[in-house]
Amino acid sequence: MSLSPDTYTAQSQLAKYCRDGNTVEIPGSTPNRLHQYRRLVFNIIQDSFESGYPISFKYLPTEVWDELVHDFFAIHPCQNFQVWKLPKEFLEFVIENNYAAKHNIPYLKDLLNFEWAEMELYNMPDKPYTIGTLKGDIINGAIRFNPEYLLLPLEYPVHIYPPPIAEQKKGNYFVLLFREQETGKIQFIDLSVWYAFIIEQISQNQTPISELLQYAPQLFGNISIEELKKNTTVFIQSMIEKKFVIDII
Amino acid sequence: MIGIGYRRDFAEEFINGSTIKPDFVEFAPENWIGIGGYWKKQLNQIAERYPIICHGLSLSIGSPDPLDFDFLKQLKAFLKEYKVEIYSEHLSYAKCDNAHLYDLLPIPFREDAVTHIVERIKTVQDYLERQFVMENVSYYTPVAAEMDESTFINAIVEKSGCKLLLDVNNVYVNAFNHNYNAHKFIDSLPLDKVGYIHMAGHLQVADDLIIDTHGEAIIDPVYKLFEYAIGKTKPVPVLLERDFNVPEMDELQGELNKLKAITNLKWNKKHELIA
Repeated sequence: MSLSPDTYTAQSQLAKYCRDGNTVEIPGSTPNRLHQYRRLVFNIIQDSFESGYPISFKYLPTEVWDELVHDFFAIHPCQNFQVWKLPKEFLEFVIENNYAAKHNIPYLKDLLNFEWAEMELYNMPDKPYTIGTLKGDIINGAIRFNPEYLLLPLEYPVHIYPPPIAEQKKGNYFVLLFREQETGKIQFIDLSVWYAFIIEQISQNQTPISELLQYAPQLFGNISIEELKKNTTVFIQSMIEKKFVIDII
Repeated sequence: MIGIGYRRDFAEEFINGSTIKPDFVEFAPENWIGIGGYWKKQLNQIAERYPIICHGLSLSIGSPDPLDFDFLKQLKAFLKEYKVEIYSEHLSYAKCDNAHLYDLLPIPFREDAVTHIVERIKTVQDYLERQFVMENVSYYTPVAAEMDESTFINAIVEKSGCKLLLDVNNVYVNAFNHNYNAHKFIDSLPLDKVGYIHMAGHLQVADDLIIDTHGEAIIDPVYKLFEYAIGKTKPVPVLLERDFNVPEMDELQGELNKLKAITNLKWNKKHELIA
């Protein structure tokens, strides 16, 4: 670096001031003008999170939200050159620093994860695919999914209820999010543990449903396999209609 | 050529509307690199209809931090994919101490900063295999300056071999905020190196302060300054920047028409005289 220590220090002081808002004196600067930079920079950060996390912004107490945003930007060195990806760094910061426990907001992690998942999926690079003939057998065939999807496990059903209600319903939830090929819109589907299990297994191991059904008693205890097979067939058919299942070979 | 900044707020108008008719569109590659889905399709349609110019946000040419070659690699591929002929950036910094700031901070006008930036511009130009264009930015306070802005810009353009993006509104804003003569400032710039021009509106927030918001219509004194400036440059693409507070499309087209009328008057007249 060919910069002198004085030049570097001036630049570093201004950058730090923009991040933490703590008053600073920089040689040659106009004192009543420096705050414009803090204001402009911090506005961008606030806008990014308010638009990236609209539900969190709406339901978290204002003083908590302001603390999270302030702490994040003051403490965390933002790594991504794309501002739209900044909410992911915010999410990681909030989880790592356990703000959920500090402010007694147990659903916070789930809510941020859910909101970020939608944005990430909406913007993610295309994974080109074509819809096949779907002529194979649902139970014994190899099922292919739309590759533009995310499967989120949640403790609180923030994908179904507003946060104050979701907070009262702790449990095991799964939500499937996938991007529609034609419109780019994101579809959300609440899944039972069984359907989350088969989507995960088919996706990772291409295991046919007939084999997965053998695990059902371990998962559910006393259960009718025939009934489950019938229900699973109906589920896969609905996923074909929604174009999440794109082929069966 | 008179273009306009492509914004998602009025993206549909570019594709399906009949009111707005720019000669080209400009956008920030950072907002589009690696994007898929709906917006990728929209962008591809835009690229089919209009020539594209890219104006970057996060190169941070004036930063003390090392250049980000991972970003440059993605940028180079993007510029190639969309056949971008002009890539411009800001004479500012947006990253420091390993932290992005997502806005344009003023570089100290100092000799060592000139040397530092010239090295970096040459590196970037070599890597991208193209001459790039640096914009004079608006600034609200100098920081540890040891020379004036004009000397700073001239030194960088001359020593790096880059072109100058003359942002006429920024000249107006800076002249107002720092109490200097905008016309004399224009005269002092390396006008033979101007490769691109930006025009925009601004917002006066105090008796002695204007903020470069890109959220208002261009005011007459800035049109006058533009007319003055382009009388001294060769014909280059001109961009209308409108990022916020977007009006009806016919109002934006009115601004494009006005810019075109001025350029036709100045540049065609000059061309006729030469002929």
